[in-house]
Amino acid sequence: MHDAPTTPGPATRQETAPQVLLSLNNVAKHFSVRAGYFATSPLKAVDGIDMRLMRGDSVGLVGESGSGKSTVARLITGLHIPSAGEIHFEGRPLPRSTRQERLQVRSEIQMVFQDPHASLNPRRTIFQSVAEPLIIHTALRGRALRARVEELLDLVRLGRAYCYRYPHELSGGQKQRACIARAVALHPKLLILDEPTSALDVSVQAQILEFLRDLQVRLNLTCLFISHNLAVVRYLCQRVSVMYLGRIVEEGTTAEVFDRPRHPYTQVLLASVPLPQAGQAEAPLLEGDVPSPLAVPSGCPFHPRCPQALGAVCETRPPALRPHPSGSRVACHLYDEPVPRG
Amino acid sequence: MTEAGERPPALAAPDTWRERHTAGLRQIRLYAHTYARSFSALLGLVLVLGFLLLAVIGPWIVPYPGDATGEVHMDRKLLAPGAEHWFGTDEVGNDLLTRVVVGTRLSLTIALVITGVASVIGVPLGMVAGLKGGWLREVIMRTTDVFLSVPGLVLAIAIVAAMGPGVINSVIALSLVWWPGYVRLIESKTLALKNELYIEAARISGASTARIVFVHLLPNCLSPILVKASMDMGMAILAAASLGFIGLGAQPPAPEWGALISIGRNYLPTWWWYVTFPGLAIYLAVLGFNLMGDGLRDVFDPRSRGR
Amino acid sequence: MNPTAALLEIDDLHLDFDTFDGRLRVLDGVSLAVAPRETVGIVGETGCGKSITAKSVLRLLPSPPANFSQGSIRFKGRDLLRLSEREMRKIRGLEIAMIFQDPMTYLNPVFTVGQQVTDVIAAHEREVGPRRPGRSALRARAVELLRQVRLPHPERQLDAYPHQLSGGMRQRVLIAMALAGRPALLIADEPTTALDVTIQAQVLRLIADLVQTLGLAVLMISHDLGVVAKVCGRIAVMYAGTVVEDAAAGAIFDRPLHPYTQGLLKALPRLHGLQGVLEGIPGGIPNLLTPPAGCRFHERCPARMPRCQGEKPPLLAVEPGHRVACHLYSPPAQAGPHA
Repeated sequence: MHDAPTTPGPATRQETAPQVLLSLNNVAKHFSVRAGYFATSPLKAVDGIDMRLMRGDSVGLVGESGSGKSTVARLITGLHIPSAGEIHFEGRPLPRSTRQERLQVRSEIQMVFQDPHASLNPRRTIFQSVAEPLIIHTALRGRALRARVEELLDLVRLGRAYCYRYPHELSGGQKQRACIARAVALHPKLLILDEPTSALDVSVQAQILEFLRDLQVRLNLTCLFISHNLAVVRYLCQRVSVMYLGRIVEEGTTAEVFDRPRHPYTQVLLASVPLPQAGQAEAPLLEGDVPSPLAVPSGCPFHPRCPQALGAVCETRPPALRPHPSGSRVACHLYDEPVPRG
Repeated sequence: MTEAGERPPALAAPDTWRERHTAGLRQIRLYAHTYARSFSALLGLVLVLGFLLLAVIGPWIVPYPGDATGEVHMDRKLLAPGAEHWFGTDEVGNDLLTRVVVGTRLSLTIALVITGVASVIGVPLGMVAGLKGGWLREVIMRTTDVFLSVPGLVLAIAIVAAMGPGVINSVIALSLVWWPGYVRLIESKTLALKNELYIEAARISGASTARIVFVHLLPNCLSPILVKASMDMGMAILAAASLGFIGLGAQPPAPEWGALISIGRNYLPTWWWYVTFPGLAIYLAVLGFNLMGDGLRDVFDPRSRGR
Repeated sequence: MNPTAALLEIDDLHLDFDTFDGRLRVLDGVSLAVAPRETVGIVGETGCGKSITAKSVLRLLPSPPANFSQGSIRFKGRDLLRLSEREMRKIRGLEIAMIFQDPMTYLNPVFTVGQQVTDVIAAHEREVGPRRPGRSALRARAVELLRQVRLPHPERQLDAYPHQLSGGMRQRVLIAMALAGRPALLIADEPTTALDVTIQAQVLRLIADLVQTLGLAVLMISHDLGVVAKVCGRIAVMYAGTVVEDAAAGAIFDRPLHPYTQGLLKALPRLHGLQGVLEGIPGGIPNLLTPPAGCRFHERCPARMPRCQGEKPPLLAVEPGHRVACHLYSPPAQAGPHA
């Protein structure tokens, strides 16, 4: 079931017709979790989302715990198979049918993880870790391999001297650069970054962000950034999708969504971010905790905590992600077309 | 550590073997230093090295090589420890020192084979169980549980009794009893490791399961395997000696320590040396391996590094 | 700031750690103060020593490797570094309490919330009074504490296990346990770093309200400038073991004086409005085994002068209530001996 395709904003329109690199159509991922001795209950990590990434885009995916954003990353990279819906990469479905094609896709979709300390094997040198995708997918060995790895380390401004060090000898920022070097080693078409700077200090983060922006342009990467840090997403991404309990609740250009949020959750989320400035207004607080993906509320998943809930319609009918006049898409009954009476 | 935010200075990539492996060498030095800080670990190391040395060169340096195979010298029987026979002689006149030293090679070889076979069987099974999960894991783990539910020595005795006494059979029996321990250890370690981010990263890079096992999992499993193997050597020596003691292991005239004690028991208390020296050998060997294993465990455990 | 009125006063604290590689000079002259009912934030990046400073107040650092070579930590006039362990036990929890970053690791998973909270209450009663209060009295007090931290359905939560609670609720339980001894000062070490943004807002609001209702003083440690901006009236910026700037929150953000503070603020991406180019701070923290003699920031400082290399800048008040440790603001070096 397709929604109307999003109109790319002026920033992403290209000379030729925009090419869709990745599309998710009504993708869902349910896990069966044991509840009691015999029963299982479904954990709806992702519950029907539609997304489209154009070539060259940098798109952000934001949400809190339980929003499903990390699961989306794992679905795209093939670590999970969707329970429902389809994922298409370059027009053809994922996962690919033959093993060879699957291996090929592995070289085209790559990921940088959140925790640089944990994403490098502590017993392998930086050289061995960065060279790994090259060893798996290419025939480069020996001197040629070393040259290529050194080239990559230069690209990420890590310095060749770190080639043969172990991860524990590097700082967080350096480790993250090494992970980025590994991820771009095969010139992937799609790069997914899962909280790439949340484990880093502010001053280091600034360098990495600046570097990522530059790299994206230089290598013409299509990037999907997953983060809970909204300011970082603002800096890096042209478009953003906000997720809540497995669904996309609002989607649009970053400027529009962050400066003029439409969905009540997005509004609270943005207001809750503490800004580094004096004298901030008191944020409207949400009651209670994020409900668990094991017990997603009926209808709109946000309705129990929504300060602007409309009552019966929010409790029974899940809102669809619909275009809003501003260009964003919002999934909220507040913006439903009034039902003609008659 | 500096952050190379700007273009790094034109440092040449390290080229010599030494430069490339500086980090590894430092790590080894750190391990050695941590190990050496513990007196008991050093004692263990000395004991183990001593026994290894004896096992290798023993048969060439013993004073009465013929006695190892049981030449009979009734004129020299049951002599007390003295200048000519440091450990005394046994009931057929064999020099006990010779027999104990030659027995070192026998015992250590038996222990090595048992530990080796057990780990070669147990480690891959444990890894498969940890990685694959599902029914395969259930089958492997439940089989392991069955073996572990019977006391090891009892099971070994039963197997040897069925197969007939002898060194080979006792080695087979003990290996069969030993491998489940490795499965347990490696299965839990693999379960913990397989969710590590770097394994996920390897998978996303396209690594095959085989590559993940050999390149990523095994090296990280090595330290617990080493620690366990070291302690197991000691326990295996003891187990082999126990089998020998009840007559199910090496048969006379092979100078296996347990067998020696078994015969020597009859000569207590007057001819005390017959039991004492083989017993001392067992004690020191097991102690050595245990202390060394303990020391290794402390070295590999990052928390006890005491930084 | 009247020094005699200060609740907590850290004065020129120097701390060394003896490690395998040598002597790490972790804290190099930390001076800051917290007045009653004041919220002070300590902000800095990895390795600046903010957590270590906080732990030093409660003497939570194991004393062979840690060695306080100089300075004092005065709480209500008494130097905590000179107290015996027994005397410290009367301070921990009863006068000064602390909460940490990851609530799950600080709660015992095999005991219920009620058991853990009543344990703390009972332990404090033991220090203070002769008799252990009865079970129902303990439970009543526990419920009261949980209600104070706005835990929903506190009576029911007494029988819940930590893994049944969400991250935000666990942190509230820890705050309740911290308040059990009715402390005058609460030290919070990155209390909301592990929490989601909307939950963080709730917990920060709770802390701010507790300051009002209980008259608590709070020392909050964070790497997040936004978090300290929200809760703290004063902010101290630390770098490599020293306080480099200490001022009211407004002054830090509107008129940052130290080049490091300025660099930090420039490195933050903005949530709203136009984005400039982000500038990081090149270089890294100095090696604490062989720290530079002068200002520890000088190698990375865009405004460095020759003086900065050899001479350590003192923490001086440039305006009332605004102290900076930087040669840009310190008096010119004396040319020679004066009469």
